[in-house]
Amino acid sequence: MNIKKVSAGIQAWFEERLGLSAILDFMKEKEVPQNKHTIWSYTGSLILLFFGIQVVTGIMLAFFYKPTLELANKSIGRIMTEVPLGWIIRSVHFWSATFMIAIVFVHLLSIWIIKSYRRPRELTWMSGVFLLVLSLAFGFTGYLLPWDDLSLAATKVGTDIPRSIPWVGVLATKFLRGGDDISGDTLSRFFTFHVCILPLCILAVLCLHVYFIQKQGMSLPLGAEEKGEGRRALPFWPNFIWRETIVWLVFSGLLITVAVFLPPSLGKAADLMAPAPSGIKPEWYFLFLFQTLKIFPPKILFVNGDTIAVLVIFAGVLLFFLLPMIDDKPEERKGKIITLCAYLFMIYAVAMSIWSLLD
Amino acid sequence: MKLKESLFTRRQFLNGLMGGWLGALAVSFLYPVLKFLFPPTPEPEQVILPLADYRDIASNSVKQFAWGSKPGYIKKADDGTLVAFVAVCSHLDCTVSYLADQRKFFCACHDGWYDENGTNIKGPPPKPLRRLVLAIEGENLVVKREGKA
Amino acid sequence: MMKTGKTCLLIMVIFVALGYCLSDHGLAQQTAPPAKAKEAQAKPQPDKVVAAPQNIRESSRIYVFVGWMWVSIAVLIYFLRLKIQEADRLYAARFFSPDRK
Repeated sequence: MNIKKVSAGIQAWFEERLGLSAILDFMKEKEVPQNKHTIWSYTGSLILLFFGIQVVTGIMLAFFYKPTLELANKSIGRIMTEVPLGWIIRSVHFWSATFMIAIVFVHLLSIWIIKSYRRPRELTWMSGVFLLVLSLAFGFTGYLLPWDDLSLAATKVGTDIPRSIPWVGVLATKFLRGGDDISGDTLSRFFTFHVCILPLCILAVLCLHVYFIQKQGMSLPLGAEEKGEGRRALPFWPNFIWRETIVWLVFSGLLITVAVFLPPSLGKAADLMAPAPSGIKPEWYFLFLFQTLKIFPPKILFVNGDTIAVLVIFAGVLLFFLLPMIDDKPEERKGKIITLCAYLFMIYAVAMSIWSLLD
Repeated sequence: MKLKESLFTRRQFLNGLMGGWLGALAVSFLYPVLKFLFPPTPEPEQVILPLADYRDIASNSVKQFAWGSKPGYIKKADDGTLVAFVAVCSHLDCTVSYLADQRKFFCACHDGWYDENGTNIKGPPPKPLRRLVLAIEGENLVVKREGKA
Repeated sequence: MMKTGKTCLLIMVIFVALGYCLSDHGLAQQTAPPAKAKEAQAKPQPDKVVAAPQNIRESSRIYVFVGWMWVSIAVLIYFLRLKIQEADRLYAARFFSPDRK
């Protein structure tokens, strides 16, 4: 029984029916340009790695989690104390969320600064903005699921914010909460979003995003095409893949180490009637938005301050979404200002987050 | 005994070492996952029941109790002694019932029959009903796993 | 290559530091972790369930695992660097270019 012959035979059998060697051929043809920006091309697949870890650990947690008012907190307590190594799985899920969203921001900023969204990659950017929103939605919905004091308070505040949008705001809050107030129905709803609706949405948008990237190839830095520089590039397979494997190994190792030594604890079950605990804070990736809302005065002229704040944030997100259309002359002054905006946004977000923590 | 040729090339050796080590790392990640997905469901060492609840049941009748997550029966024999069984059919885990008029345990799932002592007499059950050790300690009825005094 | 590694490490240190400040952690683990978690089962409404290994055996196993994981990662990186060097050399020698096919 020659193993080589057998495996070649099996491969040929699948090849005749599936034709998957086309994928490997494509990967061999695909090239990753080598320049000072190449390091940022690792961020995309890293997000995918952490997302995969989230799906696996999430499914494992869902085997034991019970999404009802009475049992949510208790079931997580059980996962942490009775189920073998449950506390590690929960910790990995918690930290992988942080890692994933952190790398999403790094990825976003790198694309913004390198301006990879230039023609013809506008749709890649726009699908990426959707992915950002979906990732944050994952974080927001997941945060409620332990149903402890802090997560209930954070969700109360978070679902109250859309209310300040004129006309549709109240409906949005009602939809998120499953009613006017937070209740067991809110928990069921958030659980359904977190494990069913959002995964389906993010998978669909992710497929689009990845398809666009493969279709259009990796972008070159600004001006490289015009300068006609000798293109130093790496084949995707195997050169880039080996490098990517190193990055994946290191980051997985860091994730496991952090998860083992800094696992999250669980507060006591939330009491819907209790007053809000002190020191409510959303997850770190919402801190800068939270602080932005806080600094707006209660009333500006005749309009509710919160309404203006929310509308300003919405306008910002819309501009962000349309960035490729706005930055149509990337090498000229407008383009340089937009690059500056990226750095300003970074500084703003970090500063507001730190301020929010110290507050 | 010196080999005429190497068993494998340096490339094959290094590739094998790398692949094998990667595989070992993957398996070591898999172990905690499997432990998580297959948590142990230990049976209790013993269950303590109030004697008053079981002392006065009629002869040739059973009363249910919880043996961990499984159902159990306390049966009073004709002479008044109490016996404890795990009321799980040895065939495919259905809960058995006791038919007092026939003095037999019956499993409705696949027509399995046990006599009043739990011995399998007819149908698919391969083994008798599990018998637990019963002791009266003061006001309590203490049920222990078989083999434990 | 080293620059990439250093940059990655720097980014990660920043995230971990940030996460450390931000996360609500049950930090009993760095010294021998006690079985605090068992309290949760006894009390009906515990104030906080701390995540920790249940006994010294479990925590030792976990530390050994983390150590083994990093050793494995180091070994694998060593091999992967060899593979990268080889792949780069082959590419530079135009081994993969179409005219050789």
